[in-house]
This record gives sequence, C-alpha cells and structure tokens, in this order.
Amino acid sequence: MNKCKFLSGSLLLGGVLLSTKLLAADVCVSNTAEFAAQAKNLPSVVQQLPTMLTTDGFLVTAGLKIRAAGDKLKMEGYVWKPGDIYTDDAYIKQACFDGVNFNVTLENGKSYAAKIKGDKSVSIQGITFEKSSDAKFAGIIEKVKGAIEKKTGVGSGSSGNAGVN
Amino acid sequence: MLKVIALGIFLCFNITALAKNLTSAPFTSSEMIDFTAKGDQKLLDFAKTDDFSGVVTRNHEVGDKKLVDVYEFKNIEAVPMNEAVCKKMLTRIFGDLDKISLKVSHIDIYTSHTGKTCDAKIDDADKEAKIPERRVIAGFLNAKPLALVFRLSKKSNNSDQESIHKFWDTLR
Repeated sequence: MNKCKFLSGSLLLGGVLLSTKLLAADVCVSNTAEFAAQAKNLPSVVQQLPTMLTTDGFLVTAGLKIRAAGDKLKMEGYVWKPGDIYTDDAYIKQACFDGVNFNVTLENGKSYAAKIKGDKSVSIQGITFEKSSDAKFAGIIEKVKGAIEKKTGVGSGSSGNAGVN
Repeated sequence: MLKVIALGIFLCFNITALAKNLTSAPFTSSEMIDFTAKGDQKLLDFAKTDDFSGVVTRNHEVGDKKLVDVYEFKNIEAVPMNEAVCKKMLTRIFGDLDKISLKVSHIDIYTSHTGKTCDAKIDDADKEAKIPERRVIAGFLNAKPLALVFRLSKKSNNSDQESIHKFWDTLR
C-alpha cells in the first residue's frame, strides 16, 4: 500500500515537473519553415510575415519590418535620425518566445529581448512599437521624408542610405 | 512664477548637460562631418555588434554615402593590415563569415595615408534587399583599429569606390 502511494506520488510529481518543463519550453524559429510551423505558438503581434512595427514618439520615430528573405528571416529597420533616415537590416539567426519575451539573435551575434505587451505592441530597447499595417508603415516613412524635405528644402530620395518602403 | 523659473533652470541645466555628454567622433575629417554615438540616438544600434560606436554624417554628401557606420575595435593589436586581420574585423561586424547570409565577395589590401588598409565588399543575395552591398574600409588610424561601413542601395561602381577611399583619406 505504501509502495503504491509512493509510486503514485512520484508519478504525480514527475507529471507536474514534466508539464512545467513543457510549459516553460521556448518556441524557437530560425527560418521561414519553422516560422510557419510555429506561428500559432508565437505572440499574436508577430504571427505573420511580414510583421510591421512602428513607433512615433518623443524619443524616436522608427519602423521595423520582419520579413522572409528566401528561406531566412530578415529584419529591416528605419530610424528617423534628425535630417536623415537611417536604414539597416540584418538576418535573424534565431528568435525564441519564452512566454513573455521574444528573444532575438541576429547572425552577427547581436541579441536582445523584445518584451511582448498585449496583442498589438512590443517593447524593444525601452521603446514601445505598435503593430502596423502596410499603410501605417508607409505613413511613418512618408512623415520622416516630409520632415527631411521641410528641413533641407529637397526631397530625401534615399538620403542616408538604402531607399525605403 | 518661482516654479516656472525653477523649471526653466532645470531644463537649461539638463539640455546643457546633454549637449556636453554628446560623444565626439573618434577622428577628425577635412570634410564637414557630424557624429552620432550609439548612445545618443535610440535604436541606432538595433542591428549592430558591440564594436559599433556610431554614425558619421557627411554634411555635404547626398545619397548612399552620406551616413557611414563607424566601428572601433578593442583587443585588436595594431599590426600591419593584412587579409587575416581584415577578416577578423569583418567577423566582429557581421559574424562568422563562413556561416552568415551576407557574403564577402572581395577583399583588397591597398596603401592609404594610414598604411596598409583593407577594402572589402559584402554582398546580400536577397533580391529585395534595401542594402544589396556594403563596402568596408578598415585600417589603423593613429594606431587604433577602425572600420567604416558604407551601406549602399545599389551595387557600387568605380566612382563610388573612389569616393569611399577619398573619405578615408580625409580622416586624421
């Protein structure tokens, strides 16, 4: 009888530990196939490709786009730097969701945590980005271009590197 | 009224402090340039490694070569530049060169005013890439390891390459 209790107790404990481990397991993606397979397990703000995020605040105006590049995942960023648009991009080596944070590691080794805030926003380096549509994303870029034209009196074109949109 | 004056003094103090804290470029140039350190502009380093120090704005340049990334490397000994040293710097910027999606398609060691200098071309095969080519000039300026990265929206031509070399030549 005692053996039975011990066995059932152990099984129960084992089950709890196992389920806790399963619940705590990160969902990781490193290419488009894995992204498609795991999309439902990712936070809703980044469940689709391309994912577009924008921020337009006192500290910074910026747009981030996560998209497919062949079978790889790529992040593009447009940061309003006074007088110019700073454009950059990077391939994503791996992105893991641990239930709270979306931990992104780029191919160059840079990594950071994007904190998921509800269904429509995410905090990156202390800046809150809102999930964006194509039109809103383009709108942010246009706003930046407009500010440049107002300041310099000329169209920005692809000023400050690599055309936008 | 006193509160308004106090607020004014507080804001002036902070703005002055902020201006004093802005980091200066790690070099001078005979061109008119401004330098934005990574700590002075939010998200500027969102895709950069730790060696990235900021962005130089060339005030009289337009287009692709106006904004230039600057990397300063710690723990790289000042030795004559060669292909191995250049690759070490490129790895610090882009990651393991054998594993990354960007490809180093060309490395040339040439002689500039700083001595042996590396000119590297890095291609992105992504057809939708906003930056299909990056051009890197790496060398030792005042015995300090330094790299400039030009992010180009289209493949460079001889004129672009010459212009990039000329900018390096202005640095002191």
